[in-house]
Amino acid sequence: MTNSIELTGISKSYGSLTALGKVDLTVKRNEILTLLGPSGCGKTTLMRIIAGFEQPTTGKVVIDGKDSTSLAPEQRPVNMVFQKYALFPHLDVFDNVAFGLRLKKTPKDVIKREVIKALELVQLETYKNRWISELSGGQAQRVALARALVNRPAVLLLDEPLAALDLKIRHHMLNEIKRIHEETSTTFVYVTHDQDEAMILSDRVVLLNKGGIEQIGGPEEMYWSPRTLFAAKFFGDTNIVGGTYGASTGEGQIQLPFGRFAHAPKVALQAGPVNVSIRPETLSLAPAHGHLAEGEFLGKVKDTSFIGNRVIYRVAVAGGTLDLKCQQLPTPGSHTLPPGADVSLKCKPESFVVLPA
Amino acid sequence: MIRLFTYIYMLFLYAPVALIVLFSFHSSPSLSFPFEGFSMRWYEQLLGSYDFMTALRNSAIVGGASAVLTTILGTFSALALMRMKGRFKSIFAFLNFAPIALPGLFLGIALVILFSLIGLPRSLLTVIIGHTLFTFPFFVESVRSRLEYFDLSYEEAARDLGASPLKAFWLVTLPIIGPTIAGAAILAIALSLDEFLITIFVTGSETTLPLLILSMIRRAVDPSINAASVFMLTLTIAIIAIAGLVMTMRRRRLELERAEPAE
Repeated sequence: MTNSIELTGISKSYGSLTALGKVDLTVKRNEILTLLGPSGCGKTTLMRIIAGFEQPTTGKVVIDGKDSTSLAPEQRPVNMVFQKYALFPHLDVFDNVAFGLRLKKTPKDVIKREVIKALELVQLETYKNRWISELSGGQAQRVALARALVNRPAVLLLDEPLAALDLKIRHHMLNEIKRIHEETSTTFVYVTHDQDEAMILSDRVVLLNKGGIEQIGGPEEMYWSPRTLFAAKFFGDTNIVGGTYGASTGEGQIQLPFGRFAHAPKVALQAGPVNVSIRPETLSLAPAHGHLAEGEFLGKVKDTSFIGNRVIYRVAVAGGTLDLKCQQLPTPGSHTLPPGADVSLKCKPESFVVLPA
Repeated sequence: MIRLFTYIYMLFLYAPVALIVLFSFHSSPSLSFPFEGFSMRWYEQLLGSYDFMTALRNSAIVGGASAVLTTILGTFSALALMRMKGRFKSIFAFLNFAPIALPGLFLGIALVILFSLIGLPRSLLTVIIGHTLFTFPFFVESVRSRLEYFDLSYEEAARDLGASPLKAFWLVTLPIIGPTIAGAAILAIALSLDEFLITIFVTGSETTLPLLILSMIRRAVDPSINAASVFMLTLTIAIIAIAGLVMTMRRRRLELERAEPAE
């Protein structure tokens, strides 16, 4: 058995409102899978259906090979880290972590050993007698992780666990979660609206939009080969340019406002209007020179932002009708071109992502 | 100037209370100055009085029983309120709270009519029912405002960790909301102890402390009224003080435990 969770035909509606359309999803054993999407996309509903807090309107939930669709939350071999931690304020750290084991009537000495082990895993063993109100946000997060993991769940669910933390701690906790995943070898399902978190953490990303799955793939695949306009825009920064493919322009040719480019489509493409996603870092920029080589076109710098490890130019092209973002890597001694400078841009047509308009 | 005003104001508020306390210890039956000396004779007379001891016992029974009923009903109501949403919630909250605004006179008459309709003879039982009705909205209101801050994900977390709904309530919800409920329950006892208007309508032949004091005034000016009033005053203040203590005690206990070295 290689799958921790198998969801088939899951839908959820509240009255006339559809939170989830027919969703099929498989979570492989020991992977970190993120459910990513904007608010209202259905990611939280999907996680709550896995946890058992919501009943799907239709569909089947199989956890660890067992049909769990009608099981109550306490009967499922999954544990959850809640967004606002939900640590019990009337218990100390030790008793919070021991909560699940005590319910299972685990012998006292085993509880003690396991709780200490779980607290060591999150590096909080010296905090075992603290009250919850005495913990910082990051520490509370770790206790919540220990409280869930001490039960050795088949799947650990994490509901936007870093949303309440500030940026610096958030990066640290991401690495911590990765480390803990490696040490426990448990399946993690992680809900977030932050694509950076998803990219850093995931083996696979499930991008959700309006209650349906938009695309599933590894972080690199999601970034370089988005299959929809929504996916292309959701990950990182990109230029979306309208154009025409094939037909009048000829097979394997794309007509864009600033030129015509040869493009061998990776998937079958109908001739007609298309949207092309061009990543800013695939464009290179140089001061305008005499003649334009293959794939080059002219532009005028509108504004620049120097961010240290990169420079972002906004360049007006095609006679000023279109702005392209272009990212360059500065080197010591290189100078950022001033606004108003005439430049020649060069693109890599092989990195275009062409999507039907 | 403002200081002077404050003194006058405090005098106005507390002079009557101080006078009653003073004269309850007066050695002579006279209720006017000059003050002739201290004595406990009115308290002795009171505690030896069969009527007073019966009224005290009745008040204790009614206060205790109505507080228990109010606590059970009120806790369920507050828990339901926590889970409701939208317009239904505000309507339900209003219906819980509205009886506070009803005149006691109206409640008393309505209850008398109701009891005679269903053929329930007036007794301590009807007083208990009347007091429960009276204290319920105060209970719900004082508990509700605190439960607004109860995060329902506590219960979900307990379920997630393997607790049945009942266990989640017992192990998580109740310990968290417990001190609030205990404080509100004690407040209900204090309210019941003082209640007069509804009681006079719905009681049978039994007297409670406030009823007894009124009847003493009507009989003759008996200085033991002062003693009875001071007794009630002390009881009420003590109960409210306990309520305050209970509500802060848990935190205090937690702090004390923290102060001791771990293991």
